[in-house]
Amino acid sequence: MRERHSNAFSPVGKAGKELLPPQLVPEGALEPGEHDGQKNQGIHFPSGHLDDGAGHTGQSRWESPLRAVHPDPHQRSFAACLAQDAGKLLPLKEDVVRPLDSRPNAGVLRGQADRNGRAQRKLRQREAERAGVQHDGGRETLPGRRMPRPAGRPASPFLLEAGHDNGPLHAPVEGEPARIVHGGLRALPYEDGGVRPWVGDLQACLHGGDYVPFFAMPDNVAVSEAVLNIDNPLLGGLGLPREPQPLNLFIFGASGDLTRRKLIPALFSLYTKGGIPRVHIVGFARREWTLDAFRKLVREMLDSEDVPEAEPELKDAFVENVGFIRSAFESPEGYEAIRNQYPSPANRIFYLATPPDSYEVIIERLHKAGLADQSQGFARIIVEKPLGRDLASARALNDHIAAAFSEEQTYRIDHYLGKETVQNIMLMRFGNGIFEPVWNNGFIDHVQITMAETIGIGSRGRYYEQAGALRDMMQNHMLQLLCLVAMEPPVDLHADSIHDEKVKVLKSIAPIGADTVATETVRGQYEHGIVDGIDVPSYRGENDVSPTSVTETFAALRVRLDSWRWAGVPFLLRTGKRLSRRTTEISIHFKRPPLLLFADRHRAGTPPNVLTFRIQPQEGIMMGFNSKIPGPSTDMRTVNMDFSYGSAFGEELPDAYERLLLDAMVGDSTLYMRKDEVDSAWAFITEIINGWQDTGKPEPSFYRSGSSGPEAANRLLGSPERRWRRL
Amino acid sequence: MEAPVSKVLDPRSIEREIARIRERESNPYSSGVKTNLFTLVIFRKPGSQEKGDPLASALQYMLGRRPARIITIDQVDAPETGVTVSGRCFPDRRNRGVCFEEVRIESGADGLGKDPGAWAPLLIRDLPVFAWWPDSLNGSDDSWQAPILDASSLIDKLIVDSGSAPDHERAVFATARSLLALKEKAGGAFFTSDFAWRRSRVLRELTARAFDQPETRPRLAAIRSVSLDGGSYADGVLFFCWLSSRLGWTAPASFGSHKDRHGKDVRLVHATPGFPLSEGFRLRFGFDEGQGIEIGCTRGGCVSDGAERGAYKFPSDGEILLDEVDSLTRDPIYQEVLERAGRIDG
Repeated sequence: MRERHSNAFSPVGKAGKELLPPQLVPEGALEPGEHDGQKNQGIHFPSGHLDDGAGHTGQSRWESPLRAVHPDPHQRSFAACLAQDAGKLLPLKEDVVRPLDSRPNAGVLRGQADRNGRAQRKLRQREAERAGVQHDGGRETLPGRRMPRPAGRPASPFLLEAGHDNGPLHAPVEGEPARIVHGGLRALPYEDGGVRPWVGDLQACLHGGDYVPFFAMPDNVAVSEAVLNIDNPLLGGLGLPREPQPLNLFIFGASGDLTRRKLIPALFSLYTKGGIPRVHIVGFARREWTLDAFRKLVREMLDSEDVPEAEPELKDAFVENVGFIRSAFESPEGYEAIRNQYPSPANRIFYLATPPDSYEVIIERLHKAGLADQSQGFARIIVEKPLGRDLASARALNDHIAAAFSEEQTYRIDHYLGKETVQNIMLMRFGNGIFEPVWNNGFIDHVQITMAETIGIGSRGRYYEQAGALRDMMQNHMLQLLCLVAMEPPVDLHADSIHDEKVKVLKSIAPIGADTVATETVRGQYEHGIVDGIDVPSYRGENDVSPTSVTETFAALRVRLDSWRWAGVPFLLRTGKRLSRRTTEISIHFKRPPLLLFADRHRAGTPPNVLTFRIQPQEGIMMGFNSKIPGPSTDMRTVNMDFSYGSAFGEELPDAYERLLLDAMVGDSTLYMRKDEVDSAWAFITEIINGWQDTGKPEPSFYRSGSSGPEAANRLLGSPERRWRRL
Repeated sequence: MEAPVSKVLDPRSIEREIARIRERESNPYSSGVKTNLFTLVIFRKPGSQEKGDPLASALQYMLGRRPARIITIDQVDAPETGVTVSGRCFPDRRNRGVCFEEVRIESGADGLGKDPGAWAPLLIRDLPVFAWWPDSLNGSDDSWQAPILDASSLIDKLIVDSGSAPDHERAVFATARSLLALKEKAGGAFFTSDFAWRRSRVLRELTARAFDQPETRPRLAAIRSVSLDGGSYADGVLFFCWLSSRLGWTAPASFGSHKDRHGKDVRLVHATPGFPLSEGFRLRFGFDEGQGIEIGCTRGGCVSDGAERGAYKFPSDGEILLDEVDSLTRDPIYQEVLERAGRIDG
């Protein structure tokens, strides 16, 4: 017998009101009924406005960000259910939830329709015991609940199976309203301000006579989105791109180079594609500009070569959407203006396009003004490299950020990760079946990662003197590329899963310290020479550079990964300025065949196969292999199999910032750096820096501008058969 | 540049001529010419080439973006079949040639050009083959299908435009039936995509997004009326059939009145058909109770349920064609909609 409860409820603990107790629903008693005419696939959504009294703020043990982010009756009732905490918390692991059935987009329920019998039942029995719920082995428990979800959405939401605290677990069948598992649930704040439920003791939760679904969510999917996944069939097949919620994007340092060259063009490109219809852009700078003056400046930015062609009306419309706050970073009034002049939408992103020495004051002011608070909407911060200059300063910066923003709110940008070709590394590795079997020390001799630039330091002398190639390029971009090449396949494409694998790589790197810097590293500095047809000065001759500077403009490392996959495979990393060619590439050098049948048939022996990822320019992938030369003999030569983005498409690849900005807006941190990634990278690099400082070794090698770098780099090869790829 | 090669369809001669023209047309200072991505075979109905070239703007858009071989098969009033070979190249930002290799076969009374054997050797191996019927479809006349069915084993995807049917509902339903019949006859050898489906995507997209909010999502089950202002009959039919199919409504004999899952009536009205979607449209949803939802776009922008949705970006035929040749996946939702439309007598 089912008792209907009123819709009214209130959080536990609120004076005078109690959460309604769960009711046992006998098998078969339920019908796919209606509630206010809003039956949907058997799920009853509480309709209308739930009377939850004063709401769910701080009354329960769990501070829910949900209500703030999504002031929606479903969320509030979910939150109220969650308030009834009890018992031990168990993380809801992926292996607990299983696909419900094989239909595409089927929702997932804990457990699966037990059509096959015993094995499933046994598993459930164990799960139920673990969860402290009585289990009737004779009855089918936790069968699946078919919850279709629209195509095109990310990984399915999981509907957590209901249970009863005074009876056996009884699962709904198709057509029957889903019940709620609740009890011992706590929603933990997650990256985008949504939550991830952790399951404790299972108890029934019938809320107001209706069943409030809640979900164990995949990363970065807020609860309301998970709800949306369930019942908007209109989305099916549309493959709609992710669209940010309405938000204000505040760009600190709006007058700077980064804003002009990258951020505004990327935002405009997103705008023209209809990707950010509800994003309002606000510049924050100390320049004495009015709003009109800033808009005029932005309009001029849109006429630059970096911006694709577009109709003037479109550019005008974009500029109309731009705001401005004139303020020094230290001034509290500027931050009050954020709140007062741009109160809505309440979602905010703060992009720090400023020199790093401004970060602390900005973050502190944001914090003091309460702008990092997420009670009304999400608040995120994007910071650019350099993130510190060594481990200690990186940690200090991270601590400073963390005092105001949680990790989930923090987006550390490395723009290389947004490049199409860098993203393609993972796709190549894990989207094709032929590479992974040979992607290990059984088949690979060594890996080279090169980031060569022809430009010098330009006007960045003051910064570069303190940084050098190791901090400027190696600590961030190079190590990120290394991670992508060396990482294990992630279990899924959630941000954390990918970050986890990258951190594993970083932690497996054998340290290079005072005792090994001399042999495992090379540092160099460019002298004058000819680059791109121009006579260029030496590094010491550049502006703001000491004539006796020993700052390295070239760095090369021989990196060893202590892992099963990579033991014995050197990763040779080199980066430098004023080299002969601008190129960023990763080359995988395979071992020679175990039996060299044709050793004497190739003028160069039997060269090994090399797979090269050209990150820039001439983006593409190339495979070198040996082929017979036409003729009566079996002579052979090396030929290339080449895929080049440029040979196929007439359009330019989208800029990395487009992807990165959109990701931050929708709360996807996959292409950003997590705190522990930054820490691990700095730990490795700092030890090298200390080793250089303590020992003075290796001595810096000078190289002519326009060359391939110092000869000393050859000693890192470790074998006479190895060669650096020619630049 | 044109050079009549031969009145005999000799693939080797044609290939030689293509190579010669390509070399001449591509920028001599460029770093090279891009390789082809696909072959596009355009079937024209008799006499259509005399009415000017409506394909031109669509192909022009693609020029410089995708290198391809384009084979056009015209039916002309001449005793013998003739072939014309041409080429056009457009430099990209890095000065590489993005070229069209063009072969135009004018099939005469001898019928040589219509035979797939005449042009099959010109298809670039290992690359997708798209067939395009750019001319109007008339639901009651299936004769246009013959050359396509003859070539069905050579085609990966057929592109048509159901919006080209005579602009009244009955013709649209008949066209849907005709396309379904084609699918049956082809036995799954290729799948079909539709310009009109792509053009009307904006209606579906904005509707899906409008109902994708926590407060509007539950109202999907309470829709009682949908009214569309603007768009052709094809746009209207495709949209309403999509809505009804996705929401599980049943379609009685009269198109305008559907029944939702609870058996309640839903009235569908195409209030002002006959205006191109590119000029704008308005959708109004009425419910059991509460305020309606209105979605509209004009050249100035789009508004959905009171909120601005940014610029109204309506795709040109060129953009649609580009989209189509970039994709080799079948759209099951379109099939669903076509089947629904095909069941309506009109």
